[in-house]
Amino acid sequence: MHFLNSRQLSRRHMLRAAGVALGLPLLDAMLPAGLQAGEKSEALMPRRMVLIGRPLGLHAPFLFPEKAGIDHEETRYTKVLQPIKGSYTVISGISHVGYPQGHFPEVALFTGVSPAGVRSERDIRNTVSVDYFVADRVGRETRVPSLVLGSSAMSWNYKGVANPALGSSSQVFKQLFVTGTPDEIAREVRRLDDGQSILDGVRDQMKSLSNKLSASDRDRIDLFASSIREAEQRLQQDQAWAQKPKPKVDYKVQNFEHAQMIERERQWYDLVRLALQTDSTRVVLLMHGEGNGAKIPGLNINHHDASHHGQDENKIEQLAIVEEAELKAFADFITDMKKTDENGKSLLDKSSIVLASNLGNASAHKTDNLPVILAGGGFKHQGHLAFDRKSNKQLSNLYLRMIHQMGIEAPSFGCSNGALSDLG
Amino acid sequence: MHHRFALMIALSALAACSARSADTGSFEKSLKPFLAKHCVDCHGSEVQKARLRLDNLPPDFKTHDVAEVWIKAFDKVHQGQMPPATEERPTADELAAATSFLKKELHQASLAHQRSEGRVSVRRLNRTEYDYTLSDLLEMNVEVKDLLPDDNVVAGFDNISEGLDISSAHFLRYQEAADKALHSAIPLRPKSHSIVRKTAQQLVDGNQALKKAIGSSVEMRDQTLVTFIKQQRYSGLIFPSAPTSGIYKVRVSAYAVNTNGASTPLVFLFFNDGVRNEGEARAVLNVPADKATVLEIETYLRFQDKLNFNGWALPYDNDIKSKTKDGLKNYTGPGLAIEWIELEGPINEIPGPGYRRLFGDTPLKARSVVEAEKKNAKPPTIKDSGNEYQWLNNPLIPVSADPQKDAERLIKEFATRALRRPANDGLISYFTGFATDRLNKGYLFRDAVLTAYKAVLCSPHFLLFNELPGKLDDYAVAARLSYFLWRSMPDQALLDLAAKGTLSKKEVLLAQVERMLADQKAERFVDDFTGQWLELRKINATSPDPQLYGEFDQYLLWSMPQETRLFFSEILKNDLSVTEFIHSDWTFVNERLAQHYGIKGVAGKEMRKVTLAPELHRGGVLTQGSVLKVTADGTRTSPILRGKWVLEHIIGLPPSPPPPDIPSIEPDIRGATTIRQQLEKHRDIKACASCHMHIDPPGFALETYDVIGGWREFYRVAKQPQGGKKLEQVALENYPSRKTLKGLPVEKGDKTPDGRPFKDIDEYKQILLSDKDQLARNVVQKLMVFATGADLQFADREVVEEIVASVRKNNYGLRSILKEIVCSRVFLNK
Repeated sequence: MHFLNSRQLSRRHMLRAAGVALGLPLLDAMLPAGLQAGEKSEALMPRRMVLIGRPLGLHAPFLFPEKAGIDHEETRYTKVLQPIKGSYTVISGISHVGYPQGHFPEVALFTGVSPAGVRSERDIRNTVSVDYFVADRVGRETRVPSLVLGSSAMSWNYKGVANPALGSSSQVFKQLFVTGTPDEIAREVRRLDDGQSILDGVRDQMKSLSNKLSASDRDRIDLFASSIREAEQRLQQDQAWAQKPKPKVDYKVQNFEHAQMIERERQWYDLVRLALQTDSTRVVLLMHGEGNGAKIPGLNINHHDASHHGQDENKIEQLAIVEEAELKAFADFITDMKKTDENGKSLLDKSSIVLASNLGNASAHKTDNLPVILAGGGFKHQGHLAFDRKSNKQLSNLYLRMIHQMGIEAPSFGCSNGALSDLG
Repeated sequence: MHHRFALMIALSALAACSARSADTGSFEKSLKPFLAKHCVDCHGSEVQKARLRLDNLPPDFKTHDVAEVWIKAFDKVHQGQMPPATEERPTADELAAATSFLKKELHQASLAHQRSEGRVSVRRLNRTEYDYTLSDLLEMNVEVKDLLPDDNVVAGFDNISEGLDISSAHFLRYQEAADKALHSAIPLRPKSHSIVRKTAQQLVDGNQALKKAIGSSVEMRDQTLVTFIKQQRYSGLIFPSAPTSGIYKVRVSAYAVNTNGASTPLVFLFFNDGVRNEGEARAVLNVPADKATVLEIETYLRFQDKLNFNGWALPYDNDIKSKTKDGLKNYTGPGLAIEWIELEGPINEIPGPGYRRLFGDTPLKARSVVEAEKKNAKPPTIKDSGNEYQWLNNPLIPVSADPQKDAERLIKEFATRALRRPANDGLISYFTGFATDRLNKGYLFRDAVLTAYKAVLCSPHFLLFNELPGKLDDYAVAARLSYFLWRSMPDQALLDLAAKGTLSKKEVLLAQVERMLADQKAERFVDDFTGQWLELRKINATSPDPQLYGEFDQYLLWSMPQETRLFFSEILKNDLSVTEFIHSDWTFVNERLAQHYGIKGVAGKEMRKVTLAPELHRGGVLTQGSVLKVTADGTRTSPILRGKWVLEHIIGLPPSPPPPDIPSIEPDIRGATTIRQQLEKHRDIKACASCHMHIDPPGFALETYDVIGGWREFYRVAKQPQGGKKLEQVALENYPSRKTLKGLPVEKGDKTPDGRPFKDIDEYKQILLSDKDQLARNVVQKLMVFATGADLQFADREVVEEIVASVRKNNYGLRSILKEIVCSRVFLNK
């Protein structure tokens, strides 16, 4: 599965050696020896990863089937997913084990930091999230290393600093698909050049500053150097792409107002698909917001309120209205990904997509038994993959498996204690 | 929790090699026997309760992780929680020997570390500080905060060094933010001025929704529009859009109808698409009754921004539907009458102060003029068509006759101001060289200078507080003081005192504190500190269930945090006792809060100080709507969450986090079991009881306040339960026109861990007030952390206790505490 071996050259290695960081096609020499032509062309296709987060969980009794396996009974929510049957797996009995209750462990949904990092909401010490980890390894080959989209910062770097999210879809569209005028491009190139010079200066100033400070401050300042280097790399990447025309797509971005929650989510899904299809990036993190004030037929209370239903049947019904609409949009996204053709293959097969929430039961603010749906990615989908609801599987194990699916060798991620082995 | 085991193993390994780092003789004599006799049975090689092992913990008080364990052990023993009550008590002598040894060692190690390294490690500006600093530097609202990554919270605040790492995203976003702020200081176009008025008839004609509403919720009386409901965002109560960016006068000619002579509040709302539904209240004004009055505000609008306005106290459409079935003929509810609206401006000077800060007197010329002059062609005559796009394509550009010289002068001035201390010549010439290089490359004067400014704003000398261990020099004191009380850069007066070298003198320092607190910028401190200490930042984090809490509205939400901020300011201003945070016989309310609390005779939107009668059960922050709202979710209150909040924020003795794998409480609002029954089940579990005996009581004390801070005697129920007895429908006391179903009586009262019973919040407050030292200690600690940007360390305890002892004499005045902190070792050293 993990096709890196000693005889092959790492693509990154090649790119670095050539002094060019970007845009080179994969060469045969980078592939494992002995592949047939068909296998070769498949191995040449880039792999993608999409992480979709949502607050407030998914009502567990409506989501999880009783029976495990591909022929599980249909639940209210799996019925919504019927159109993508065979392309997804609902995973039960999985979570970040040992996390405290409450909304705030949300920040660790995609990092799987040890529970000590999220012990209190007034003291968060997070670590790197899956998207950043993966983009750090595959992100140099596309226009943007990764896209962090949506309502709140769920992407974190190695130092546990939040990577800002892009909240405006028109801004994302412009960045990926709208080629600037020659004037604009020239200005952008100059901005990037100046940016590099400024960073050079920052590095020099940091150095001379650190000589004067106490030992522990010096250590701290020295750590900033790696951030400067990363920032430089990003500017280099932008420079390399700045003058290349952007892919043209036939799509019109709309500005939705707050209440148009489902429309907004659907537009994000469209943009994600376009970004992957055009190979503008291979890694996406998309965080949906709470649908408070959302206009959905039949809905007349706030999403947050409905999720804290306290077993009130009416509220649960209201919650289901929101969740069904969102799952329907998700299913349509997966369907679109499936239909999108990439050299005779479906884009979905090369894209590992996970939808997950940080709450297993929003009404009790419980963080175990999280709702997790995995789709695409060439996994052997299981319908319902059931783990022990009393003693949960580490969600990080799924992330590690997804990281491996990207062709990245990693011994562990977050709190993993092994990669999930049930998905082929 | 395997990571904790890993730590324990690591610590055991350390034991072997670091035994020399402390006075082991004394350790052997004073502590080891104590540990052996009282601790290791549960925290030894066989059993490690709470995953703590003490028998092999090295007497190393310098290594951070080891010292942390010792501090925890010290606190438990010192506070009498350990050994547990069920075990044999140590004798007074044993106790004294063990704790005084530990205290001395921990203190000395901590102090030594502070002296050699400083207690605050090098830290960057957080994004609040960055935004305020740029705003002060440019004398304009820069609005760049949202471009920067969120800051991590450590020890309850977002300005703590430990949480403020710098990632690559920061280095990139600093450039972006600086770009945006700097560019926004250059006017796009020369001064323009217009007045656009719309009559009521024009408003109606221009909006289908409003037109359709005539007869049902809106009526036209002659040339006046009267709305009887709060209108929707797109229903036409919208000002003309701003023709260009700038400060505008926004006017409405209006009066209130059917209000018995009382005023009604009018809100000016700004909707920022996609963010929140409710809009940002730019201003609220009282509209007098029956006689048309012109109301005016001044506000900044960007090109094409539109403000909405609305009658904030009017009912929603649904609220009056039953009464307006036959139209408005016989409707007698309150309304807002509008004659006309107007937008005038921009009224600000152009170029503004921000431009002068960046470019001095450098003249501005349209780009087409500059280009023509460059070619020695005849400059075009420019006629202002009033169309903004004309200027977007042909913006004003600063043009210098001597770019090199002007750049050098301007950059030197800017860098000196920005860097908070005299910069060395090397640094200055680096920045000016930056511009020179670009001028040589053919950059416009503007772009060369702005790029150099950007370099200044990305400089570590600007972004970091980089002090040397030991006593802070006067410039560092100036910065610490101004970032504490103004959340921003020091002003010229502070820098002048620093230059003279007199700022650190106690009387000078105290005079500056007085001056700074009197300045309007001190509101930022109140805002930021209460926003975090009392979590007012979360005021809008959840929305109350409209079925249960129909009386909640945006006017109330807007009023709530103001009460708490004004309350804090009042205590600070008059050096009142911090015990007022627990109980006071006064607070600040406007008409909306007064209605909510049941206070009679308060009219208008202005917050004013009122005396609280005892039967209102209000006073102190715990009974303020804001605090009660942030400690509840939108549907229900939880004694656990509120109790924990009180322990953390008010008492300052936070409970330990719950152990993993404990059963949690499944909320049930159907009314089958009471919250007390649920919590008692919880408290029956031994592992839970030891903490919940502390957590639950303050929560039960606050149980008589609902999720929006209303007083309650019973729980509300949204729907009649199926089967069984029908619930009674009752009117809300402070909102007589609203009804709710009456559920179970509210659970009130409990007893403290040491067995003192209380029957309600009033009695519970008296229990809190019996330990005033602890209340003061908590405030000192919170302020100290916030003021210095570092969590408390062991050596700081001594300073905290000195301050508590000192302010005890004047009844724990808040202003005195703040001054003591500023004059303390902790504040004046790195």
